[in-house]
Amino acid sequence: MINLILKDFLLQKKTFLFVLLYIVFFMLVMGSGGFVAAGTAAAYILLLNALAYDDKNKSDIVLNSIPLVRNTIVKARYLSVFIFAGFGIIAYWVISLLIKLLHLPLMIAPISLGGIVGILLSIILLASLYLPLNFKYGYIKTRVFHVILFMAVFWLLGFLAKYLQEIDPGLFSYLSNRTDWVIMLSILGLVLLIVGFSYGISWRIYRNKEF
Amino acid sequence: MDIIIANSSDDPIYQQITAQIKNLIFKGELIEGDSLPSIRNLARELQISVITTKKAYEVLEAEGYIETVPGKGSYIAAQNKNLLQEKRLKIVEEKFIEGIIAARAVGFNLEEIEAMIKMLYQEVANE
Amino acid sequence: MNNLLEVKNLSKKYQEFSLQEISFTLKKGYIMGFIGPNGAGKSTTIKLIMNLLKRDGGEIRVFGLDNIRAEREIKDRIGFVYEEPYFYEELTVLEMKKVIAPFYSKWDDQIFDQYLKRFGLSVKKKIKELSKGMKMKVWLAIALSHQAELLILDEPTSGLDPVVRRELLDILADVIQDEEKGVFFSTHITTDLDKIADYITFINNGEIIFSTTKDYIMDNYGLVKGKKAGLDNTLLKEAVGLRENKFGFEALVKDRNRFWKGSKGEFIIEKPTLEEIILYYTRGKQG
Repeated sequence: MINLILKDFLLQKKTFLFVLLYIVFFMLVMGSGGFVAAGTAAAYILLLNALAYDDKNKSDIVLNSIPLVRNTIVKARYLSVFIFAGFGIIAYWVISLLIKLLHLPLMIAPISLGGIVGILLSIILLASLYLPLNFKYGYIKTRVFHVILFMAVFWLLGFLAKYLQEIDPGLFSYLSNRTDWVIMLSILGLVLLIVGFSYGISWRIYRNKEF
Repeated sequence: MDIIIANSSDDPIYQQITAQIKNLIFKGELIEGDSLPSIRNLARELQISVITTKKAYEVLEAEGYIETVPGKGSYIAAQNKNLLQEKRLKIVEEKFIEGIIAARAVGFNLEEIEAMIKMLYQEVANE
Repeated sequence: MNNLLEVKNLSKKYQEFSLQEISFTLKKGYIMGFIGPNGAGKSTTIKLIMNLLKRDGGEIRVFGLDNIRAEREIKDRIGFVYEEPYFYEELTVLEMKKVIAPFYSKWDDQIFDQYLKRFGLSVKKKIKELSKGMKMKVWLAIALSHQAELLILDEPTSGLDPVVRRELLDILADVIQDEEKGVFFSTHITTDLDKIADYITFINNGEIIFSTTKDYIMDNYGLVKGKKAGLDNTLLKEAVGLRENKFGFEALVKDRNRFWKGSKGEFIIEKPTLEEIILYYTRGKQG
């Protein structure tokens, strides 16, 4: 399975440079939300690009001819999302370190645990919504969703934050009074539920797919 | 050992092989105990099917020309001298019969055929 | 277990085409050519064997095992070469090997390197920079580097020059030398098979026309040519295909020896090539 993810990285050597530029762009433009936006965008671009290579090369035919079970292909794809997110976070860290070392007069959002959770939550939401579509219809046919989903997820997360703070302060203060652990665990639980559900659908689609 | 396969020939390929190996035996170029290439090796070299070479060897074995030792390979079998001579004679006879039939078909009689053989014999001997 | 590949009553239905309960068997140590015109069902059959398509009925056994239940084990022991696609064209040969090799339990780097050397392939080249013949050779090297017992080749030679095709045939003849391996070779370029194939399975319109030894076909089928007057010979009623022209006719018969005996020398009877057999079967008895 690791090899399938290795392949995503080998294929995207050139994309990484492009992703770094994206991160810098989000750092400079998005202010305090820069970390979450940059990390999520980086992971999302890497994911979409990996899927584009799969589609263009009709890789399913070869992948399903080597000693692999179909489940592994689906699992590797979901796992790759976390690894792409990790790459985004590390890249962000390296760039901010560079900025610090060079004493550049830039205000950038710091890396925080909350931010990391935010990145994971958004990319998982994005991937969970998009991957079943991709497994069913392929990359090209679902192109229209790439931007729509990205916008929708950010709007949704923004709305949630707003809802908690302004519209339902009771719930917000209730959540604020919980310890970090409880919040983390509930978010983790929610994420696992979403990923699990999405993975179930993708697996069901891919298991019966014909190439 | 030379074996030449003619794709254009009407004879099945296995017959071409058996005929040529038999000929080599008659001519004394292959003698008792000589080893033959393996079925698969011969097929690869001649670029033909394994089944063809297998059939050729089976026929040769059934007719007593070769022996196959499982796991070791195929060898030229001991030939009965008289039998060998007889077989050689038979081949000569067959060729003559073919010639005689052809000659009769165009109206030659015995004397004419004899005269022709004498003339041709001289020619071949002089070469 | 002498059968490497057994296909029994295999069927797959599509709206405009279906594979109709086809059956054939490939034994250890032999090369089977799988022939037929484009669209006859060759690729569909291979995709069903590789579980890339789901069968509607029948059975496929590879090494005696069900091809779906033992999918992974079977694929570990199969080497495949497809006409297309070639995996990720953006990867180099070396990268591709790195990704694929670990999936095979018996991968042997040394053998792979030997083949690359033999083929004059550089590991640093990207797949997309290679010629069609070279791409095929990369896959052939992969297929031969993990002790595969069954090679499945789907149109590996189409679009390749005769030199490369001959090279492939030489390698296949080497592969079957040890009597343990087998080759299943689909192609519409039948001249590749006229020489080395042991068995021929001919598929047309989703049906198997015959699956037998090539020798049987070559020793029995005949191409009969004659004058128009000979057309009323009753033996011609059994002809598979018949073609008339201004000056005479040509027909394909299944038993040329019987035809030989039944005719009075008014015909020319020749051994057909596989290509001619396909042609006559697919065209039928048109004028």
